[in-house]
Amino acid sequence: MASEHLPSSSSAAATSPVNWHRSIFDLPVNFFDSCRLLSPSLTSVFEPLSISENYSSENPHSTDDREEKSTKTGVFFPRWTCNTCKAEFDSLQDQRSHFKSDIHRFNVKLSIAGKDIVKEEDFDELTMDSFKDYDVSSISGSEDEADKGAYPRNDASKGLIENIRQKLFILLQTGERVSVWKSLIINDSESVLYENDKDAWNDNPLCLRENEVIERLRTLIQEPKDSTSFRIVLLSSGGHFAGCVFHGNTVVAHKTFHRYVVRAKAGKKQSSKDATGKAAHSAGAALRRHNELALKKEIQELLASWKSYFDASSCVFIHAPSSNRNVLFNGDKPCFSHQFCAIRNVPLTVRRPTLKEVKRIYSQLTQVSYEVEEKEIPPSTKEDMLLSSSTNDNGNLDPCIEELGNDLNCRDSSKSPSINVKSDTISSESDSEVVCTSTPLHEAAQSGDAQKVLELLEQGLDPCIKDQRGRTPYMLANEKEVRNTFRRFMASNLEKWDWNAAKVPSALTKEMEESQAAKQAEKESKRKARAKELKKLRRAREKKAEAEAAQSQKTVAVSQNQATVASVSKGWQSQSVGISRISQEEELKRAQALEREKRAAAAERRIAEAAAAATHSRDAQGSSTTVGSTTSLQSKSGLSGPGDISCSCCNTSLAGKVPFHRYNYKYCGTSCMHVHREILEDT
Amino acid sequence: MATRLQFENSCEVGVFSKLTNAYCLVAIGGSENFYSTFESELADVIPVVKTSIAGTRIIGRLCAGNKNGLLVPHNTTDQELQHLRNSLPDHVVVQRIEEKLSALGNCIACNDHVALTHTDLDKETEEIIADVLGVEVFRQTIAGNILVGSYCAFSNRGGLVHPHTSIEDLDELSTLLQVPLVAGTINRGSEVIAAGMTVNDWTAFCGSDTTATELSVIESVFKLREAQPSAIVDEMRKSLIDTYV
Repeated sequence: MASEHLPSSSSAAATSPVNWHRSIFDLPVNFFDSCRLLSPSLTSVFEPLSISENYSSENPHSTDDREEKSTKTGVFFPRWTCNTCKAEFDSLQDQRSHFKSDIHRFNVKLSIAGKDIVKEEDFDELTMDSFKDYDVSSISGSEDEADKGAYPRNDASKGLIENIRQKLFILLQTGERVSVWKSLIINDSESVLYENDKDAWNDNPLCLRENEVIERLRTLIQEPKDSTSFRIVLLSSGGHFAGCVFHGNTVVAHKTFHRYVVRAKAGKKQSSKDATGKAAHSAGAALRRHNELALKKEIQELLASWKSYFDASSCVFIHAPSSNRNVLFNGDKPCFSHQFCAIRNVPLTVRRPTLKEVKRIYSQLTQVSYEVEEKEIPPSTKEDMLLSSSTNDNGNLDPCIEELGNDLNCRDSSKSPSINVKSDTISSESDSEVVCTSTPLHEAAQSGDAQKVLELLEQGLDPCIKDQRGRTPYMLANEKEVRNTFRRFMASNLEKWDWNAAKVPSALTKEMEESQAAKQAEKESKRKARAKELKKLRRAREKKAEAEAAQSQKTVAVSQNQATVASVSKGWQSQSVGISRISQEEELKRAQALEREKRAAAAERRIAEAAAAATHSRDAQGSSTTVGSTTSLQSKSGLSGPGDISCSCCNTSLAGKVPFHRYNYKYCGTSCMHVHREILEDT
Repeated sequence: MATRLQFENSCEVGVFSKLTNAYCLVAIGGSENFYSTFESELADVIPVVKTSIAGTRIIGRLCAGNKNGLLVPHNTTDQELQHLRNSLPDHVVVQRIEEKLSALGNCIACNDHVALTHTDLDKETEEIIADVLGVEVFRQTIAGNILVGSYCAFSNRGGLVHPHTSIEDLDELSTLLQVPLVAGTINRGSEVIAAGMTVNDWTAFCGSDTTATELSVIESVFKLREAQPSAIVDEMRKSLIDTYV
């Protein structure tokens, strides 16, 4: 099946039997002769990944052979095998390096999750396109939150749709379908004009006609090998930067930078944290700020030094999500010369920018992948679909493909969950192992429409049917009211369905509901009574406080009046209350200042005392030789109170030093600590 | 020789202690009996240090180490770290690891040359393990359990693994680690090996529930009887001479 799809004229195909991806630079010159561009709605939903899966499933005997061999060889002591990955090795060295490899880790994770392991050959593709849940962290590294936020991991169907939009599908003269990434030859602002919507975009200058696209492809593969036409890939995210200049398939120049800019654990860059208005003043924050600037400077110096490459390049692929864009662009203007080249975004998911990643991105971008034909879709899917297939003029194609095309077209206008459900069913049916699908009851339960659920149940829909992920409608119900609907229906129709299979836990009868309501009401009334009581108490307390305040104010006012000038006329009496309040505040301030002064004096006295004690003890140490015994005595009695700040061994003052702690003792240095430990151990 | 003991009525002595060829850590605050058992066995050879890690007593499950170094989790306090650095021999490197899986003892099983680790540990952590402990690091499971540190215990001379480990896995592991391994239990049938015992090249401490059979398996696979041949011969000779004379 594999060789059937490959052009017989190509030499590359002869060397490797399953070459589904070929670099565009390896193609023969006449590869795109008399080919036709396919519009995305006509092309298949099948991606290269599913092809490789098909392929591996069609060649099961190869793995069987290997297993047979391993059982035949039997058990011998130096067993250079990996049971998880079903692999054998020639030496201990090989085995050990395998156990350190990523594929081994990946397979261990898969086997723990109860999935089948993958072979080494498929590993690259798998980690690329699927198994997102089992991401091998050492490949993606410790990606920070910002990165994850920037590229939400698509679910399978969405990823496929995105891919279809980003790719060009071409029907070759040999009848095969191939796809290339649009951004390889087309700018972001340009779009492709397909035959079937010719009238819509007739006079738009940014629309490319089919023959223009194909002409571009042709010039691309006819590009002279010795010319100086470069392609440059620049990736920047999370403090990592990787840039690489390619000519054809070869790397001409490359450079990577890494600086510590992302806040550990919290995630995101320091600058984006600062932008929220809460600037941290920690040492780490300062470090990160400095590093960000330094990284930007380094990158800009690099870009300046690569000017000759930029001048000679045909396009620059850029991946710099959100704030990383500032590194490569000054406002809208790029920091590199670009009058001769086009700037395009990388349409793929980008992991941590490294040289390896840049190479991977580039090889992905420049490869031509073969698409499988729609005929391979099992015709039985037609009946399984709960969709009405609309009639279209493309009669030779399977309805589900059209459906997906329709989905594609109306995706922007309506993003109702039902479309997701449809594409879900499509993608899962392509695996051709679907037993049941989701029913209207599932949808109603999920959307929280209790009324609809009740109607559907009364119409006699089976609540035991599981969807493709094995969930019954009850399990999908998020809202309590919907679940209660199920339970109420269960109470009235206990015999009708196998409620155990429907995963409905228990019936909800009228009496139960009433008793529950009663309980709730009782609780509510209790709570209310308590709240009322509390309120009353609070009010009483407030009243008391108010009364006291009034009392004290009155006395203060009286005293104030006595203190102020005696000849205050009666007309001023009314203002005296305000004056007294102000003077009261002044008094308070004065008292506080007095207090502060007292405290400062006390602190000064304490410091002086400590200093005196320190000098005294140093004198004592100089004169006496029996320090050890005295300190041991002191330590035995466990004297190390909070105020006692002197070394437990040599008795020097620790004021102004950072003491070393061991148990309850404090030391001026490690030597003292060791000496004292010996003393303690001796006694 | 293997010793049976208890920590405050718990047989999981591997949880409350950590034994290596260069030092022994014992949980703080337990009865003095536990500490003194270690002290009497080890005192003149290696330091026995009382400590807590992250304020807890389950130090055996939180830290991982061998004669070259000791790894402690990120929630270890500065005081504890300082205390450990002060108390352990100078050639033992004490390193605190920034790793989200903080029960390092459950995630790492090691001797002085190789280490088995949990599959989800960071790449950075793996590098630190290799550098600080001076070991080759392999990511593997023991009988389908990812907590390799809990389900196996091995020294430079032998190892005991989860009882459900298949013979093929056993052979593969012992080839990988270059030590003979045996599948077995501890503490009267418990399969969490490392929680029930702690072992180095010449001695082992097991929970007091460990049966005589289990103990003999441990002594033979860890080669603890050969460890002090002179001691055993002396003992025998004494009894022989007693009867002889």
